Amino acid sequence: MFDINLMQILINFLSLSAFYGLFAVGLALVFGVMKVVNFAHGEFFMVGGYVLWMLVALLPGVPLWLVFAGALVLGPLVGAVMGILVERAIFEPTSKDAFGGFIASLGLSYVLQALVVLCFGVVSKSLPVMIPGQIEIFGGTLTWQRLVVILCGLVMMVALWYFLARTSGGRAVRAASQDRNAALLQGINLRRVRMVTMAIGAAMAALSGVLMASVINVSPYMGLEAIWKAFIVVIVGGLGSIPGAILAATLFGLIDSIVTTLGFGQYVIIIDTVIMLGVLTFFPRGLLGREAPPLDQGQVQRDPSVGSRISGRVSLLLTLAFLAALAAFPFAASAYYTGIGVLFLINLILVMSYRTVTSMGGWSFAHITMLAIGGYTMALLQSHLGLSFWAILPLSGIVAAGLALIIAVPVMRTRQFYFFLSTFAAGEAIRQCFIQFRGTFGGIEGIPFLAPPEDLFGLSFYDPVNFYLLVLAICVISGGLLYVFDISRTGRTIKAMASNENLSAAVGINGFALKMLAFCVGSFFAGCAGSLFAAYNGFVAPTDFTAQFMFKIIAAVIIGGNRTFWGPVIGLLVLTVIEEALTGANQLVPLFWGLIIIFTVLFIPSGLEGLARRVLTRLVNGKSLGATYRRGDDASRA
Amino acid sequence: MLRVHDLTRRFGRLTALDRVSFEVAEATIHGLIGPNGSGKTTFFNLATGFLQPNAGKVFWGDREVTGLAPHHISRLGIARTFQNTSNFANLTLRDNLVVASRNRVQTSVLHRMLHLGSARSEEADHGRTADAILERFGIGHLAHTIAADLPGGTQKILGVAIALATGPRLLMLDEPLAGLNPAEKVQLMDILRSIRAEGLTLLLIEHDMKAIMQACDRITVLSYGTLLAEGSPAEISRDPATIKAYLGTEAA
Ligand SMILES: Nc1ncnc2c1ncn2[C@@H]1O[C@H](COP(=O)(O)OP(=O)(O)OP(=O)(O)O)[C@@H](O)[C@H]1O
Ligand SMILES: [Mg+2]
Repeated sequence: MFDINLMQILINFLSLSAFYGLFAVGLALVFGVMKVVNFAHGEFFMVGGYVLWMLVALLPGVPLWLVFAGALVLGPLVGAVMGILVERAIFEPTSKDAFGGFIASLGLSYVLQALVVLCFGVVSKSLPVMIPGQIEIFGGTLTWQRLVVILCGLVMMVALWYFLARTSGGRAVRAASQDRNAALLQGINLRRVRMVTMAIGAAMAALSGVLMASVINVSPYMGLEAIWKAFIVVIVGGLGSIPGAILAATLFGLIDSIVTTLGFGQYVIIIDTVIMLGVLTFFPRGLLGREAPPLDQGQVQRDPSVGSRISGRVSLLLTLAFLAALAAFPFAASAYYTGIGVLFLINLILVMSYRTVTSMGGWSFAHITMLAIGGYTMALLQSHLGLSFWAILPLSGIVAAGLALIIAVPVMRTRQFYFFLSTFAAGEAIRQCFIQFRGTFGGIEGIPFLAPPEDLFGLSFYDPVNFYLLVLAICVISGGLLYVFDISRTGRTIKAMASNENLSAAVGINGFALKMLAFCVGSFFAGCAGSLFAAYNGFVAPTDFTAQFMFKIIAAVIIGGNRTFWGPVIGLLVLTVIEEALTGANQLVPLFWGLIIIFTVLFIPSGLEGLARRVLTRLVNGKSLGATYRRGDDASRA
Repeated sequence: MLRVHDLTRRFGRLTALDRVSFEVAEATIHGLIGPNGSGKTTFFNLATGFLQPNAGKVFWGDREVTGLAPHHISRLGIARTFQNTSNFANLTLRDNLVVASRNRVQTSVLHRMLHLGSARSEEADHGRTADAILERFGIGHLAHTIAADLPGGTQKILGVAIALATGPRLLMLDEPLAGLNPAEKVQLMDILRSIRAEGLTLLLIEHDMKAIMQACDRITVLSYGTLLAEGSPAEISRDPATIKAYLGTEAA
């Protein structure tokens, strides 16, 4: 049945590997030196694409191959300049806090996308084939365009190898990525090394953007789609390992080429993710990742808001006032705002449960996926089994928690960045399952015609106000349970464990089990929120569970802070107000969200809630509290 | 009590520990010394499950514990401190010790998750034990201070108190005296001796030769990952290989 064309598989393999390698090696290089994952790496790729598109548009008479050659030079230059700017503006100020830098780069990625939408519109641009023509080799077709990709990939790899192995600048980069302190001792100018690294990494991403622009269309979101691949490649290769990234790029080039040539291209994302999870199960640090020394905790940062607390009574009063306002809201608001209120409350369940997930130190990117799982559970059980909403509500939570458990087994032994990136990949793969397995999940259109909850105590939930009150009730119950969990001994042990994993293991705490627990508890409530979401919308569709939705949840917890429940609530309020204020100018929303995230990471690391509490405490006590101070681990070394 | 056999660990080309065998006897203070980088901390990491050995075995009593997870080893009664950061920086001293009482928890996880009465009274009980341990280390008055706000020396002492709060039979301390002032050193060594008198066993990594020679019953010397010498303090202080190893690093 399949006409297996080995030559074609080989050609596809070469061109895919070259592209993956070019794109992912830059990410690995940057991680190696800066110890931070640059989420905006995909946006450098996008910028490369737009450079080519602009040159084509601005130079109508010039032959395409010449324009293309020009873009191959100009694109990486623009990328390099942007890389240096990003290093100076974001990564250098956050160099003590790699996670903060990562989150800021996440914000940056949305800012850049939004800026491109503003300048060039949201519609994707198609480009003519830059170098038309193809040759046949032993029955395989090789387009000239692909040949250029392969050649550029090879040339860049050799150039990078030459730079790293043979030049003094390259040796400095390698020294810095192996041991920062030793590099400093050798008199290496770390600032310069970091800038050079960022410039090279960004230039490589932009170059691959130029190369791929005429193959895939140029759009503001092309980076977001491509970064997924780079994450998988660097995770499987081992974060920060360039040989690892090349190995994994080759591996995935081969797999993807076989899969697509056999005609299963639409399943690539799912297959790759399964492979990634499999590799992580046996190699928690990737194939060639170096084992981190067990004592490498970095610097312990004192949370500046610890110790400043508002009294329990004030906090209780504020909570009651907030709940009263929420309960009164639908009676004062129009139907439109009641609808906004329902979505706000569902988001509230999401951010509160997300905070529980983050309390164990892992910032999952799959929380919206858990919402989706809950939604689809609701849709399937209602339409196939005719179960009542009240039975489905807890079940959807249980299904989400169960799925969290399955994802978590390979992912949870990994740390920080691996966790974020692999949940990102797993979430996307699950979304793809909804799209690809049409028979079960209804494909891109999803599952329509879902009924609202059955009447309860004579209340009909076709009435939006009643529905709002129902969601509010579930929100309060969820919040209450999450609060009990948070203040319980287990909840506090989880937070302590997250602050010092090594010590917690040394005192007998099973960190793996506790992280699983927090992840599952958080996912349970997200799943419940999912069935509410589906019942409210009347349908579920994969287009509702986007990366931007996930970004909103993360942004709420970052902006507000995650030390108490107030943080995510405040963060979500801020984001929702911005969103509502900008109705009619939707494309500005991610721009503002992204800017606020960057601002928060750079200037208010404990979030708005921490800031508010410190200010309040200072007003009440009339004295200033100790500022942040850091304790160098090395100070006690003999 | 703790016995290692031919323990070997390599990091790339570097052999951090090379076929090291020795035994720590019950209710003794055993010193582990050696120049910087000789593999002492690596030994701790191997014995407590934070690193896996390339070869060799670790025995706890009659039981082989090689390859067990760190929390598992801790629950068997081996507590350790870390050279650098050995406390939960954002918790109060008392909470630090309560978190470390995990090995004495009896209530079910569901009780603890739902904050039920039995879990709370158990925690109160652990809180009282914590207060007693803090008193013993002379930091009882600081019970409600946040750990990160303490001076370095007090944090070091806190690290030892945390390890003791796990209710261990063997305490492994990585340079507990580093960063302490002379008065604190004397006080801590007195406490360690009284702990030994209660039947606990101690294994100390230490650079402070005077304290080691005074307190230890037995001393093991490492150099470049190999076992250089072993014996009583008097024997070690006369051992030519040990003297040479230390002079060698000082001259360098
Ligand atoms: N995780 C690791 N990866 C690579 N090398 C390591 C790792 N841990 C330790 N080493 C190396 O192994 C050797 C022994 O280190 P170790 O920390 O055990 O020495 P130590 O005796 O505790 O020294 P110190 O007195 O300075 O604490 C050193 O050369 C060190 O650089
Ligand atoms: Mg050491």
